[in-house]
Amino acid sequence: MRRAAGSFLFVLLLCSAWGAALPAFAAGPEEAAKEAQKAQALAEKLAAETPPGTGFEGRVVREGEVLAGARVYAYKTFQDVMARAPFAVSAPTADDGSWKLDVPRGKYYLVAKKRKGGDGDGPLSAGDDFAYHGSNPVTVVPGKYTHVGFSIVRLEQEVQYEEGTDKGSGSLAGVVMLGGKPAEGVNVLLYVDDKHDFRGMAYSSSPPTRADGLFRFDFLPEADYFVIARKRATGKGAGPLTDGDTFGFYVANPVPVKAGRTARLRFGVISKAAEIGKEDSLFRDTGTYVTGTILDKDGKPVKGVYAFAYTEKSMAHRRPDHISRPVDAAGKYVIHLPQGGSYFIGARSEYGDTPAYGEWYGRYEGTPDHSVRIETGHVLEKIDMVVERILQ
Amino acid sequence: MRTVPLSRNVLLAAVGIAVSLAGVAPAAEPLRYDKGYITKDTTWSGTVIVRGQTVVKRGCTLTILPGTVVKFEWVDEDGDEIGDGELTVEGRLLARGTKDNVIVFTSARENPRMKDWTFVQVSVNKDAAVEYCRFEYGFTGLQVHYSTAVIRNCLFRNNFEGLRFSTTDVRIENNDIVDNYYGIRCEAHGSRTVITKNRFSGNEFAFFPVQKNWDTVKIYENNFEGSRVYDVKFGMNQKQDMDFTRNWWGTADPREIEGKFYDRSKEETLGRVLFAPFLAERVSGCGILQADPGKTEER
Repeated sequence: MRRAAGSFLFVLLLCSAWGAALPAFAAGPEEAAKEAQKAQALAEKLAAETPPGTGFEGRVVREGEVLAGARVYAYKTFQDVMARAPFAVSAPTADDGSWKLDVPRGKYYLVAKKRKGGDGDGPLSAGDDFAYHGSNPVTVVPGKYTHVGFSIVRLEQEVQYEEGTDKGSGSLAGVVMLGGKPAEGVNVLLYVDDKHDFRGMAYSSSPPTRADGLFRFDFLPEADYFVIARKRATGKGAGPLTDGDTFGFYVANPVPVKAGRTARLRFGVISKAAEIGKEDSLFRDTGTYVTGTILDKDGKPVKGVYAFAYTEKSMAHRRPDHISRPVDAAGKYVIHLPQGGSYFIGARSEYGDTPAYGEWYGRYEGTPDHSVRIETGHVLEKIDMVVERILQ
Repeated sequence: MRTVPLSRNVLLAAVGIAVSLAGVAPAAEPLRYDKGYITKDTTWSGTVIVRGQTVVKRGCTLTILPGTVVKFEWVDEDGDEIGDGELTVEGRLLARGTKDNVIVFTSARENPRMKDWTFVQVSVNKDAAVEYCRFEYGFTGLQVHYSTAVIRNCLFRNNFEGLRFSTTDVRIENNDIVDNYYGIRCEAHGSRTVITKNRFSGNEFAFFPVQKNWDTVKIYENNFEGSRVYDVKFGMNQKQDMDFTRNWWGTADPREIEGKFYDRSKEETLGRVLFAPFLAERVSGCGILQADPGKTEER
């Protein structure tokens, strides 16, 4: 699996000490310096109290496909999100979309971005990818990496303004999209501030969208509105987001509404909004797994290779159904499987795409068709493989 | 505490029924494979019937003698409307026919149709050789992946894809590639490929580079005699330009030639077909050589 330059665990801390990016609200320079010192002291105290191996990890996907090259930003406050003043930033997501971020204990607002306009935090424009996590702020658990899954959406076009119907007020209208199609049954909510982290009563709420995904608000006072979309899979309106819920934080929030004008936007949302605190579904311990070693012809482990499992015998031209993490120093791998059945097993060094010239590649040769059969709740051991470089 | 089920090995053994055959099969009765595995060096001659997937395992060589006819029986267990018949060679394939005794891979149906069988697939082979063979009525006549191979003097006709390769050092020479939907489909990924002296005619699309084909793919002195839609159609991820110079496109009019390509001229995100300088006349000696050259050069 190709990794981003440097260590996978590499974290780019934007400040010399944790907390130095915290905003100072004091009026004068002296008081500001005091506030900065206090923030620094607090950050150092938090860091000292935080055991190693504390932070977030997860995977970024877009339209069901893992996304490489995105970064996850952790902010201490929502104002920092708006000011684009992150507390910490992950390295770019690897080819399998994975990321990891070390932070001291506390709560964070997590945002994933992939910008065309540059590698750092910055304004978003059409074509950029963005996700504001539906469970923000997220609490990190000391001594472990809390899993946070991101489904990212693309800003297809920036807000368009057109002539409105009422000169004294503004309108906001658009279409809610899910997976490239208009989304039905979604409530669009307008908030004027972030006081309650966009939970609870909104300033205004649309009725559930119909099959065309359209929504519209008229007679809005001139203001900046945070546009949020929500649809509960259970039909119940309260409680934290869970898998199957639909959530959206409009990429270009807040949206200025102007008198005499209609702000028109195309609003991409995601489902399966929350995966907080769970293991990544790919690596979650299901109690059903295949394990073994991946070695080269000389019996040596090959750094970075991983095992994959397909449910169909043709192990090519599409992404595998299940993968392991890269092998450990002894060449060992584990593929966690959702249930028993027949799986076709192989190993390689890149994720997705057709294996390339020089890439490490191999298949399980213990059965003629490279398959294994496993029962739910069981373990298959010694499913060992040998990899070679293609055409070398 | 988890346990490893005792039945595991039994289950693994039951995954497939291995059929091991060695030596030259008798020509009188057709040899039959039904989801079989070949685990020893094997030679085919006469008529061979294949039903479902037959695999030649790693370390084994399948030699197919001139005049052998391999027929794939129609069965479609997964209901995808493509026949399941398939020959996958993970060891080494040596299929060397002659001008007068070609090797045939075809449908066993009385009234054969395109996609009656899946493919002959060469996967992770070293020095596979396919000469004077005919591939017809398959989904893909021949697929070659992660291998080194020579494909010469073969006829690919009435397949959905005549020939597909990916990440393969291959020489594709003196073949007739006619009346397929796609003549050649490829993803070279930096592998070294030479495609020369071939004749393309009557395909929907003669050449379909899907993605990741760079300057390691050499395509020259071929006759593109006319396709039903485009001679070259770039896949949506074929962003790089490709060198198609020194080929014959059926005309000496550059504007007319340009109209035979689906590339950046039609869609701005695609690479370009670089076709000039082009040949103003048909290339002699393209397609299947009628004079058997005898033993051909090894790569």
